[in-house]
Amino acid sequence: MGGLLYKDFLSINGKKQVAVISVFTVLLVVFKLIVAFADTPDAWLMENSEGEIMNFLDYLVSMPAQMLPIMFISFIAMWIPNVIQNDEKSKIHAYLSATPFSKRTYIAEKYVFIGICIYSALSICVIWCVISMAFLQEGAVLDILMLISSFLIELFSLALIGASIEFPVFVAFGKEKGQMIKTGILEVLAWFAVAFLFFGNLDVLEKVDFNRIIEWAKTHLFALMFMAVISPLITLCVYYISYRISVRIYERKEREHE
Amino acid sequence: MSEAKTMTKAYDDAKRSGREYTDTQRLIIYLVLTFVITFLWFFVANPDRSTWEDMGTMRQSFVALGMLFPVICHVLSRVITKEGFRFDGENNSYFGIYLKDGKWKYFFFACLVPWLYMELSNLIELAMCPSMYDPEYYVTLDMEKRMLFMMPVYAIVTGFVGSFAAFGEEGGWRGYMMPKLLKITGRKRALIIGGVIWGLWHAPLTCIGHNFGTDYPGFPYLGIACMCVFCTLMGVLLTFITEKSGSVWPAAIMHAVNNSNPSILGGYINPDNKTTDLPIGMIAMCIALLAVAIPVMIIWSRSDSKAASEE
Repeated sequence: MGGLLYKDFLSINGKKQVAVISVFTVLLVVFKLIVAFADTPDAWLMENSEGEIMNFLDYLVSMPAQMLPIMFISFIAMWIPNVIQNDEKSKIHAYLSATPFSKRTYIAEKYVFIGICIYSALSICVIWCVISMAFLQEGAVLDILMLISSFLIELFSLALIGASIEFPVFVAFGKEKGQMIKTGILEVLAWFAVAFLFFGNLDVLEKVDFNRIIEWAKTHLFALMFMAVISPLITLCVYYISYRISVRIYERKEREHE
Repeated sequence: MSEAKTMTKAYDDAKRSGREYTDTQRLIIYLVLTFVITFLWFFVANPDRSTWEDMGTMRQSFVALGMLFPVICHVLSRVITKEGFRFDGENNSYFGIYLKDGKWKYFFFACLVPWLYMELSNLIELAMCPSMYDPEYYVTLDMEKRMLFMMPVYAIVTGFVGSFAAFGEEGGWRGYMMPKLLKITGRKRALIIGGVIWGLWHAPLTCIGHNFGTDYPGFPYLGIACMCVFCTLMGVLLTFITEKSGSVWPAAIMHAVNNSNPSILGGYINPDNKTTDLPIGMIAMCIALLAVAIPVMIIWSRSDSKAASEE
């Protein structure tokens, strides 16, 4: 399976991505240390909406950690059709028939590969959150980062569930049709969102208060702990069921192909 | 031999041009890199020499990112010495995961054993200093009783999910240093030397009060010595599961679960009620680890002699 994993790693430009992430992480650390221990000119101090005086550079450094989880999840969602498309292009059926890999191993490798990607992305997000939160004074930015880091496991569990839905679709219909189905579903959701903006009750959005969510997280530690325990377990079960479904679909397709 | 293995060997052979390094040279390169880079990190990340307690949790986590350097140095050493990245056989990097042939059971071992020796250690600590028992102590830790009882499962799950930090250490110590030491010196010496090296690597943290604080007789030398003993005992368990499973991941999970403190009794032990200056927490932990390490060593020797007789 190692060879197949390496093939998929190369197909998503893995080496380049590892290099970019490593360099960016080093730069983030260097920047953070400079901001933390150098004298801050007054021009860089600013007042946020909460009335807290904060260092603008510090705020800037914390931005990647705030946006990174969503960015990574989007990237991983894009890689799923890519790893399947590359196999379609490179005539994987002929290749597999010449190797000792079973169909089950082939599908398992896809799931393991995306699982490793999600685990690595989660780890990088945790590292970036730790770097961003270090030396920050108490206040809104730190609260947001703490909120993000406490929901990271749940966020990446959702990404894994998303992959569990996408995989059988792409295995069953191939890259092009699968992409069309995915785009179609996303478009329907987007239309619902637009329809809501035009005809829905927008007061609901105005009532969303992040401070209340932060306060809720601070006072419901047991609920957070329970979610942190239960969400990876449920997600892994869903992921395994999805793998079994994909294997069945793939075996049926192969029988028809033969 | 699978295609992947053949490819890796061909790649290694092609790469192995010019100077050949011996295992001892490779080990020295690795150790120099790890110690220099990590000590530099501990210096740079804490330039004002704050103690561990004064840092606050956010900065503690930042300084603790130094845990990632052993695995980074493992990768660097392999690149420098042109050793390649094999997932099995000679010069294995131990980064792969294997579940077949009963190897999955080492993952269970990794999850459950830290809980066992933690609770055993807490019991020993209470026996040594009964005044530390405080039925309401968990409240001061901002915990509810139901959270306390969920702690072992929580530690196991978060240990699994967040094992990357522990992988940073284990990928280096168990993935590179120990296999080389085992080859050079034999098992018993390797476990002791490896434990001492690992304990000394923690010295900058021990000197700012990590693990034992700063207020104990013989600070910081006694703390460093205690850390070496602790690392040697812990190293026995971690090296055992790495060797048996052929992967550093069970060790990384065990290390992560250990760091997550999977204990229920810990919520009832108030360190402020300690009536002695001795680091009894560490002494109790070493006794508990010894109680687990001895049977593990016996099982290890027996399985080795069984394998040897089968051959």
